Amino acid sequence: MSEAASRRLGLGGTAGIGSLRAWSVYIAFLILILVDLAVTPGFRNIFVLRNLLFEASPIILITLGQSLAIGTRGIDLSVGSVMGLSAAIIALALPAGQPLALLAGVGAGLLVGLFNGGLIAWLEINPLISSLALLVAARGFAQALLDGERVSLPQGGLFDVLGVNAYGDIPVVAFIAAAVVALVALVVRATTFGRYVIFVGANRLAAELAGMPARRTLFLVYGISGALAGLAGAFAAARLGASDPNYIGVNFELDAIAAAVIGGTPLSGGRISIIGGVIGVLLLQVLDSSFIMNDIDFTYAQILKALFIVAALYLQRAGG
Amino acid sequence: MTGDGVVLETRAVSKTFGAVRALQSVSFALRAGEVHGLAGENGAGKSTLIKVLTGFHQPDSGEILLAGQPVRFADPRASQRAGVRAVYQEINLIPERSVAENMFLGDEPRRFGLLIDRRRMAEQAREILGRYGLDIDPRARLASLGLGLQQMVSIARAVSRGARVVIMDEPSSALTGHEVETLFALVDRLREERIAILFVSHRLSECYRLCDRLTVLRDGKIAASGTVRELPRAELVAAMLGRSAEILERGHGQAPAAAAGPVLKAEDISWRNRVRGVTLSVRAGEVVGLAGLLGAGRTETMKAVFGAERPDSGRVILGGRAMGEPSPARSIRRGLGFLPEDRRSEGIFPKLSVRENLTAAILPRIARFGFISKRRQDALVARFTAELGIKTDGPGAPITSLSGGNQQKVLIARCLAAEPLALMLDDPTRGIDVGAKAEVHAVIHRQAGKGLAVLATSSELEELMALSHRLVVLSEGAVAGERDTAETAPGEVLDLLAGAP
Amino acid sequence: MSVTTAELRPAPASERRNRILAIVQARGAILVLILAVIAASIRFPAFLTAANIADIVTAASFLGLVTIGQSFVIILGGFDLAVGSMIGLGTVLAAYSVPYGWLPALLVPALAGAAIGLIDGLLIARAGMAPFIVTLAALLGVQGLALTLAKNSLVIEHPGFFGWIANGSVLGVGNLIWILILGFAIAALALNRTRYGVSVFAIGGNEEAATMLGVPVIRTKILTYMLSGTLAGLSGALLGAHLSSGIAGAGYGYELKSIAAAVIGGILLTGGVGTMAGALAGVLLLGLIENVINQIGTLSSYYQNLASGIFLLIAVLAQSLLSRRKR
Repeated sequence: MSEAASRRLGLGGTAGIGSLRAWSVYIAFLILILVDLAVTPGFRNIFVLRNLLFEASPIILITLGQSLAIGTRGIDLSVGSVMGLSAAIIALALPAGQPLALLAGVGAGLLVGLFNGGLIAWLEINPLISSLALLVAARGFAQALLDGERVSLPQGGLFDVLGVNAYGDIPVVAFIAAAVVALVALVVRATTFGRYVIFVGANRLAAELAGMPARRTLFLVYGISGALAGLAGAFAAARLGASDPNYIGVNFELDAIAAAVIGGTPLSGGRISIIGGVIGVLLLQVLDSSFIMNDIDFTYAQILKALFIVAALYLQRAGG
Repeated sequence: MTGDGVVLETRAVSKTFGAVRALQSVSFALRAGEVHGLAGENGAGKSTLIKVLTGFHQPDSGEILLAGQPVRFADPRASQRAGVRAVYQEINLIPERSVAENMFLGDEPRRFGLLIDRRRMAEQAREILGRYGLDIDPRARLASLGLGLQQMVSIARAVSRGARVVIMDEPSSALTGHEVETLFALVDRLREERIAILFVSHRLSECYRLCDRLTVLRDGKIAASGTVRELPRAELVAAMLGRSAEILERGHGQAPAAAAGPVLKAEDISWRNRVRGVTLSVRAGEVVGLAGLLGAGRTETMKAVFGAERPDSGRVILGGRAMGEPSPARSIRRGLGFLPEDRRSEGIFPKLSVRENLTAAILPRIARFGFISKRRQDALVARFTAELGIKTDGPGAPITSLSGGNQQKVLIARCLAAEPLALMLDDPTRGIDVGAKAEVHAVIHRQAGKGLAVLATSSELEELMALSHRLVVLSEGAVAGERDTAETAPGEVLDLLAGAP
Repeated sequence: MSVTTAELRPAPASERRNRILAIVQARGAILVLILAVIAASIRFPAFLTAANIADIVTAASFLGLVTIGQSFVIILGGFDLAVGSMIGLGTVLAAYSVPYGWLPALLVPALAGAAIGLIDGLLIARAGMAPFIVTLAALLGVQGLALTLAKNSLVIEHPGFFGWIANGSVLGVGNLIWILILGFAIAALALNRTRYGVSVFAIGGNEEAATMLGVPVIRTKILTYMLSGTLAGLSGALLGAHLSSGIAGAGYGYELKSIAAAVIGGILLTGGVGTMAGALAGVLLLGLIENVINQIGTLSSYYQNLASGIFLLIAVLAQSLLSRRKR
C-alpha cells in the first residue's frame, strides 16, 4: 500500500525524499560548523579539534557496532557498560604488561558481545532485553572487580600513545578510529558478511530462504559490537589516565544509538550508514562543545539532542 | 426490509488498492437464518469483501445495506455495534486472559460503575456458553483451551453481543475432526436462532455439508452464486479457477523422453498434518505442475522439500544423491532452487537494489576472500536482465521501483543464478498482470528447454495445465493422482481437485 | 455435544504442566523473595528486625512507585526509559514548589510527569514511533531540563508538612511504606478490576485483536504513558522530600532498575502478562539484595549491580524458556 502510495505521489521509491533524508545529517553538521566558525569565540583554536577528536573516538567505535546491530533490526544497549568492564579488566591485567592488558580488555568485550549474540541468535531473546540485562550486569561486574574504586593507570607506554599522543593535532586514537571506520565501511559495503547483515535486517525470512546464515550473522554482529566497545573502553581509560568503573562509558550507549539514528541508520533495519553515524557522533560532540564555549548552559545541548533524535526518527518514518 | 429476509446486502461495491481492483461491482445478499458459503482462490477478493463488510475498508463505490437501510461502517467498532461480527481463522482474542474476560472485553459487568464484577461476569459467560452446549470453564486461560474451543469462545462472544450477522473466515482450517463437528453443531444452532452466517472456507466438502447457498468470487467479481443444489461441485471449482488460461498458449513443447532419469525426487514427505506422505519426481527438462486447491498443501510440500520447514519424515534425492538434513542453504548449494509464494514477505529485500536482490543467494560464489566482486554481480544482472527481459533502470535501481512481474523475474533470476538442477516455483505468476504472466511462462519453458527440472504451482488450474507437462494433484495434503496434461481434459482434473470419488 | 467438547480438551498432563509453569512464572519472584528473606534472617541476625525491614521497604518505595508505572507500560507492550530522568526533574520541581506549600510540591512534579508522558504517548500511539527510542529521547530531554533548572543540588530549607509526608509515620509505620502499599493495592485493583486495566492486558496480549474487539487502543496507550510519567514525577517529589533536596541526577538508573524489577517479578517483556504482586516482589527483592550486600560488609556495595544484572539475566532466560515450553 505505502509502495503504491509513494508511486502515486511520484516519489519514485527512494530517489526524492530519500536523498534529502540521507543528506540531512551532513547538512546539519555543516550548518553547525559554519555557525560555530562565525559566532563561537575560540572555535578556530586547534585545541578544540584535538579535544573533540579525543572525546569522539571511543564513541565512534561503539557507534560502528551499534550501527551493525541496528542494521540487523536489533540494538546493543550493553556497549557503555562493556567499555567500563574492559577498562576494569585492563586495570587488573596490568601486571601482564600493557599490550596484554589491552588485549584482555578487548577480549572481555568480545566475550560479552558473543554471549549477547548467542542469547539473541539461538535463544531468540529480544536484543533490547538481553543487552539491557548485560548493561546492568557488565557495569556491576566492572564495579565489583575494582571495588568501585578509580584505579590509576601508569603513565607512559601504550596508554600515552592512546591517551595523550597526537600527530600534528590529530590524536593517535582518531587515526585508529578512522582506520576501523574504513574497515567496517568496507566490510559492510563489499563483503558477504556485510551484505548478510543488511539482508537479515531487511527481511530475515527472505534471507533464510535465500540460504543465508542468519543466526551466525547475528552472533558475529554482537561479538563485533562487544569487541569494539572493549577497544573504546581502552581509549577512554587511556584518556582519563585511570580505570573508573563508575564513570567510563556511563550513558554512552545512548550517544551511540542517537548518533546512529541521526546518521541515517533506520531502526527498522536493512540499511546502514557508517559515515552518517560518524558524522552523527561529531555533530553531537560539536553541539556539546559549542554550547559550552558560548557559555550557554550545556544542558540545553542535551534537550536539543533529544529533539534531534525525534526529528531524525520522524524523517525516517516519513521515508518508510 | 425485503421480504425474503435479507439482513446484509452489498450493491455494486467496488474497492481498488493502487492498481489492484480488489472488488468490482460486487452485489451479494445474506439472509437471516442461512449459512452462506463464500469460496474463491487467493486474491479473489474474499478478505477484501469481509473487510468492507466489517468496516475495515470503506468501499470506493456502491453501498452496503443492513436490514434494508444503507449503512456506512467507519471502523470495525461501528459494524460491531450494528450487529455484524467476524470470527477469524487465527483466533483474534487475547490468549493470556480468561475466557470470560475475552467474552466481555469492553463491556464487562461492573459494580459502582467502576470495578468489574468478576463473579457476575463468570456466571454470565457460563450461562451463554451453556446455551450453546459448550462446557467451558469461564475462568480458564483462553490459551489453555484447544484451538477449536477458542474458536467457539470467539463465536459465543460474537452472538452474545447481539450479532445478527456472523462472518466466519476459514473457521475450520486449523481444527481437527472432532472440533469441526462441534463447530458445525454450533453453526446449526445459530441458524435456528435466525442468525445470518457467512462461512468462508476452502474445504468444499464442508461448504456442501453446511451451507444453504454458495457464492464464488474470482478476480474481485462474483463468478457464480446459487443454492447448493444449483451449484454442483465441479461447477463451483470451475468458477473458482476460471478460464483465464485461454489467453496463454500451451507453449511447453515436447515433454522430455521418459528415459531421462528424475532429477528431483521427493519420497514420502510429511510435515505436521498438512503434508501427508507426498512422493513425486521431476525429470530434467520437465515442468511438473503441483495442483491443488487452497490449503491442499502445495506451499507446505515445497517448503518441506526445500528445507524451509523441517519435514517430519521422508527424504529428498537430488541428481541421484540423497540430501541430508534439509536446510535452504544446503538445498541451494546442492542445486535446488525455490521461489516462495509471498513475494513481499518471503522474497524481496525491499530497501535494496536489483543487484543485491538478484545475487542474494550466491554471494559466496561471487566473492573472493569474502569480498564481493561488483563486476561479477553486474555481469550477472546484465545477463539475466537480457535473458529474462527484466525491465529496470539499471542494477542499482531499488527493487521496489520495479513492477510486480519484473520483481518476480528478478527473484527467478536469483534462483537461476545459483545454477540449479531443479527449481520449485510456488505460484510464480501470483499478483502479476496477464502480459507478465505469459513472459514468466516463456522464461520457465526456456529454462526447462535447457534441461532444468521445474516443479510449479498456480492458483489457476488452466494456467498450470498450460505451463506443465505433467500434473501431480494434491488433495488435503496427499497425492490424489497424476495426469499427463496433453492427454487430460480440465474437467477430469477438477474432479480430482474437488475430491470427488 | 458436551461429549465432544470434553474430547476437545488438551491432554490433562500437558495442561497441568502449563498451569504449573504459569504459576512459576507469576509467583516465582514471590517464592524467591520468601526464600531470600528466610536465608538472610538465618545468616544475618540483624536482618530480621523491624527497623531493618522498615529500612528496606522505605528505601524501595521510590523504585516501587516507578515500577508500578513501568509495569503497566511493559504489560501494554512498551517501555518507558524516561522515568529515571523524570524522578530527577521531580525532585527539582518539588524543591522549587515547596515555598508555595506541600500540595504544589506534590502536584507540580506529578503534572510535569503527566505532560512528558502525554508527549511520549502521543508520539508512540498516534505517530507510531518506537517506544524505546521515543522514551530514550525523553530521557535525554528531561535530564537536560532538570539540569537546566538545577545545575547544583537545591536544598529544601523548610519542608514542613511536605517533609513529613516522606519522613513521618502513621501508626508506627513510615509514610513511605504506607504509600508503597497503597500504591500497589490501587494499581492491582486498577489492573485487574477496571476496564482500563483489562484494556492494558488486551493491548499487550494481542494489539491487533484488541483493536478489532473494540478496545480503545490509542487512548489506553496515551493514558498509560501518562500514568508512568505521573508516578515517576510523584516518586521524584517524595524522594526530594525524603532527601530534603532537589537533585537533577537523583533518579539515575531507575529506568533500568524498574524494568529489572518488573521482569524479575514475572512481567513478560513481550507484554500482556504480569501481576502487581510479582512486580512488588521484584522491587523488594532488589531492595533486599542491596541490604544484604551492605550487611555482608566485606563485600563492596558494587556487587549490587552485578547481582541485579545476573538476577535480570536469569529472569529473562527463565521467561524465554518458560514461554517456549508452553507453546
